[in-house]
Amino acid sequence: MNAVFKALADPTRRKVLELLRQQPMTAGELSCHFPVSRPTMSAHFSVLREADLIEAIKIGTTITYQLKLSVLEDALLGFAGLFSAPAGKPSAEPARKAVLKRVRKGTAG
Amino acid sequence: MSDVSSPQSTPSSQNMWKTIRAALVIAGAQIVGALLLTLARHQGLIDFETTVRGAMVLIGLGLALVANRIPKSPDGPTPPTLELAALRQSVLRTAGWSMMAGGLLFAGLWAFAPFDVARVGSVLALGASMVVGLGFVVRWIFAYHHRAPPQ
Repeated sequence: MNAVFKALADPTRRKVLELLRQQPMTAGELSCHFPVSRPTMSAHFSVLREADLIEAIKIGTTITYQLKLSVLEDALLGFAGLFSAPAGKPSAEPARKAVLKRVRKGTAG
Repeated sequence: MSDVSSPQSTPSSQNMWKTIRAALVIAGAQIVGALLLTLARHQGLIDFETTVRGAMVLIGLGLALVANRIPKSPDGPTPPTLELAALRQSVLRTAGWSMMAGGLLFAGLWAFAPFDVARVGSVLALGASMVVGLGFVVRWIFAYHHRAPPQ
């Protein structure tokens, strides 16, 4: 249970879980929403996987992350979101736009 | 990415055994609880109504505990498409939440409502939660089979 609380304590990881609530996504799609490097995002994914809150599945040739929250963990995520600051919303949007722009230009790795 | 599951990998069967083990523990707790309540009744510590209420609360809480794990136990092979993966996730979450709510309402009614209200209300609560869960499953299956063909 400690791992779950540790995972939910970070706003970026909470935002990842909120994005995955909408639908399963690839690491690249998730990274587009955050102004952090890929290795940092990888570390966040590792913490979430260790807490058993997400799982990686292989769809075709793509690794996709999907939610693996119990109902209580889902409720806990909701409460954590209610009583804490939003996950870096002001800075996340410009970075996401920049990444999307690079993707459109075909220069993103 | 060594933890990536595939149709042939073992995480699914591990999930299955975890679910079975958890269900057996819950069933055991319910049986032991019911036996203890019966014993207490034979000792004259509680009356018939309290015995029934206690057993029913245990059943409701057991159902809520099982429902809690529903979204965490996506058994079966990995979905072949992203759309199906999203579909499975939605269905499991909705089923889990509705069954959890139904179980807690069932337990709450048996714990606090008048006996006659609890008898009818608990069945209605459980029935409603199952209808919501199953309705969502049917709705999404229908949506999947009638989705637009890929361009």
